[in-house]
Amino acid sequence: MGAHDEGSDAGGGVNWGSLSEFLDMGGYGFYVWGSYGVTALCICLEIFSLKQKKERA
Amino acid sequence: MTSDLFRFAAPQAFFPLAGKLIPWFWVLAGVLTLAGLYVAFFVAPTDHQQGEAYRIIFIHVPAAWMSMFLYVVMAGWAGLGLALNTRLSGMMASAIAPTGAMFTFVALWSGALWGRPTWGAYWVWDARLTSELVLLFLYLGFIALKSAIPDPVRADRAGAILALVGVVNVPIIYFSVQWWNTLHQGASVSLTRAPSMASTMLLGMLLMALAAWMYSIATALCRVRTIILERERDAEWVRMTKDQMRAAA
Amino acid sequence: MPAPSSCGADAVAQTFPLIVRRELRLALRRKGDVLNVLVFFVVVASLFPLGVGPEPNQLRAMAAGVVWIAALLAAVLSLPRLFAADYADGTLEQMLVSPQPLVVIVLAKAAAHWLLTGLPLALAAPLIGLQYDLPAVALGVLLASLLIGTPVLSLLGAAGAALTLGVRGGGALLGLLVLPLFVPVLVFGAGAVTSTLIGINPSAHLSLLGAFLAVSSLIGPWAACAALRVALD
Repeated sequence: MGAHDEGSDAGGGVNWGSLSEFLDMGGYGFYVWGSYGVTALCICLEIFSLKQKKERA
Repeated sequence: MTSDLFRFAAPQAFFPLAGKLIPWFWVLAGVLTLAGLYVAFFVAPTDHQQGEAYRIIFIHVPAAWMSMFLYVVMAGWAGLGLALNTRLSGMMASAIAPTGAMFTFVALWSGALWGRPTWGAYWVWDARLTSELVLLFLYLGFIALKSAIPDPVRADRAGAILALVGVVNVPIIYFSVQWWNTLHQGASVSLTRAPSMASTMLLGMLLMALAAWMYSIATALCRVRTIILERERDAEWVRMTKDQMRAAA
Repeated sequence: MPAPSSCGADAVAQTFPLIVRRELRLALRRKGDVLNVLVFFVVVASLFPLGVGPEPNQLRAMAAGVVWIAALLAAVLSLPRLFAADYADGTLEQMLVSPQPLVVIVLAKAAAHWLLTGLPLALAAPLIGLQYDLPAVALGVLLASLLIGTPVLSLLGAAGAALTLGVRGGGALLGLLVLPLFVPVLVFGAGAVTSTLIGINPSAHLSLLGAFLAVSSLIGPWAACAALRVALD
């Protein structure tokens, strides 16, 4: 994920107190990161498969 | 001018054009993703009712939009191929399908993970998720049919017919699933209705949707280049191109 | 295959009953195939209680869905045979080059298919409904929904059969292609019966079913003709 603002307010946005709070997502960390994680995984798999097909062609 | 554009309907002309365009779309996809993620995590405020769990929306909704959009685009290319008898159109349809199926899966997965903390179960058979599931089956059917037919021309045409039948039926299926849902659950439970849609939430979803769109174009163009190399492998220009590519590697 | 004597609309009007009669005659030479589908339907519908338990209220609530799903599966089972025999012995090619419009031939085949599968299923369904303890009104609605809905299975199924003609893995692939398209039929068909059980008038469901029948009578034959031409070119 991109750089996070530790202890600073992004002009009326969210203020994550610390990295651990960010990862915890108010107790919903499993669900939020489970979604983003699997999406990232799918994208990586797709790009990998594209590269594989290109080698074989 | 138009005759210039139609030149690119030939796989041989389209191949280098796609090659030049691909990097731009990757860059756009990357930039938009970073912007979208920034808004998703650092600008959009916490939701009062759903807490931080709602942030899944920035994956779920764009993925769902793309899954439906890509199916229509895929059916469009397939129909074009059927009408104009162009090989490249069928190849584009084949190139789009896996990415569309991927986004459908992501929409279902993220929907399930959103459903658990919000509605208490991973799968609640709400109208939208159930329609997404049927859409996944339609994608898989298209891919399966194309793979099962050895002759590429017949595969393209059969796939096109299937995709067109599918695209006409998707609104009907969606409507029937909505109907089914209200019949069996009374007030319909909609997972994608974020309570009060702050403008930053909308911005985040739009950025991620645009990012997904750019990503889809990039992957489709990459995939179609590979498909072109496979299908046209007997052509002289393909052999020369492959030699060039191996020499450069 | 005897050709109609004259050309024009007369010939078209003669082709339809001609083909239907031909299909029925051929099918009745192999009655086993037709009966198989019916027995399959009854067996599947009877398996559900063995799977979920004999509790009457639960079964009554499930009945509409079970009967309809069994009907869908039975239809999918019988569809590959729609064009396979004619494809194998070259008759299908003859049909493609004959002066009669292909769409009429396809409609006739679909109609015959319905007479041989959909209609028997619909008539057998009330008996299954009794097994599930459905009240009389619901049985009537079940029959009506199947009478309206099973032709859709034959029409859209014909397109699926044409697309998978001669393709390896045809049966399961056919199911994968065609079952998602059957979702509206399932929803409105089973929904009609379920809504009867809770006291709602099923006419809305049945009308929507009828509307979907109208739509599929356009889409199905078009797609089937296009797919047959693709398969035989």
